[in-house]
Amino acid sequence: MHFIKMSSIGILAALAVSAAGCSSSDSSASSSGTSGTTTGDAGALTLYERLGGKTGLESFVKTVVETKILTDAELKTFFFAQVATPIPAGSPSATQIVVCFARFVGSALKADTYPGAAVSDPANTNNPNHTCRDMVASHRPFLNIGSGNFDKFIGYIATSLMPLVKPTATKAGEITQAEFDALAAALNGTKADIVNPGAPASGPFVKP
Amino acid sequence: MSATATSGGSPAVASDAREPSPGRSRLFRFLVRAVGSGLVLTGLVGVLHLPFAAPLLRKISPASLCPITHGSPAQIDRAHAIGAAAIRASATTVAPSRPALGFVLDKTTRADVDAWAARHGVSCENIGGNANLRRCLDVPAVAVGEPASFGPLEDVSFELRGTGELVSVETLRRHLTPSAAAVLSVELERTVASAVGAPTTTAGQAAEAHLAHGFLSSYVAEHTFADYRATVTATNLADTGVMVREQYLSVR
Repeated sequence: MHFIKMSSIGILAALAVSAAGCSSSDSSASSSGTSGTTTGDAGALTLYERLGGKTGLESFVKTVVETKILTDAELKTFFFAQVATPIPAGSPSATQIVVCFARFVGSALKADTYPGAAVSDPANTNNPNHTCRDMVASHRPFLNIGSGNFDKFIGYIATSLMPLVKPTATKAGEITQAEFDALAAALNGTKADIVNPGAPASGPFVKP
Repeated sequence: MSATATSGGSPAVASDAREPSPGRSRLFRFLVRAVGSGLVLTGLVGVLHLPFAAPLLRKISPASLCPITHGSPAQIDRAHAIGAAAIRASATTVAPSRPALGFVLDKTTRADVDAWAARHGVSCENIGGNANLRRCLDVPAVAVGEPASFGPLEDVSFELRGTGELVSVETLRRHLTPSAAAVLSVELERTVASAVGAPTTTAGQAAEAHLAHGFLSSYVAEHTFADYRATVTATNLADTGVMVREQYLSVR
């Protein structure tokens, strides 16, 4: 549950990158009408392709969550459900979240469908068939994210995307600085929606 | 049926002592109903929190799903193990040394951390009530072996295994100018590199112009080994200035 909400920040990040690829003249990256076929100034591959498509996006978010979030003493408290045995009822597994992530971004790029069919994970015995959710709308009521935790999380997203930034992005695993900047603008715009003003600025997950 | 009718002609004084007045009777019934209703509602809430009722509960109140704010030591270890395994998989060599701001990964204990905090007059608390996750606030730089000129740390966090040994030390500084963050990042990275060698991954630049470029402009340097990872990052957060973080992590 908490895992998927925090992951949605990453989703927004990827979406922002995606949006940037649609219009090099629109740095606000606020448009939702992205296209998987537009390449902007980044060469022949679409942004979706340069992000690795479904497999690449799944790999990206999996790596960020595993190597950054789950090793962070504070942010990991938002993800205890995903490391519980069994995973509590109503909570998706990490596998299900990753699939939802890739599908969400793919949908924004018109390369996939969201929410699509329920995501199956027999290992999640309490929720073996998880339907991907409207993640943006579900931040505030669930997570009580404070500004400090938001900063940490997007810091991880930024430092994980930064190695992808190249002067010219033409291959898989490459994005342009303009695309990165568009991502930043989009993330900046989400802070007011995601952060609960009444939440502790930092510290662990606290129920709203 | 009134209490008087059931008294069977008991002396008035006894009847007065045993039988409630009509007002007291109504109060009694009210209390019984209130307590009963409370018990029923409590039971209903409990039932709604059972696994089979989760879908219904989600529809009634999305925010009411059971949160897990307190992880067991096993859950904390499991989260760490997942991350450690992923990091190990990306490395081939072990670290020549494993600096951690004066602490010893896989050896320092909770008692050691508490003693360190006491020595430096630092206030610490459990993170989310988890005894294996500690956060210490407003830590002077010298307490972690850094020059005072680096400025105080907003917080220093520790994670310990269920068996009690330290596995991670993290620091956080925010509200820095791009210039100060650039200088600090260079110095922190230089300190790490002097102990473990050149970073295995770098991205962005620890330079004022780069960090000032805009929101989320970042610098990252990672030293990843099969048993250790040290990370220095700087990220422009606009409202809260530039954030500089360090993490020293055991991935054994």
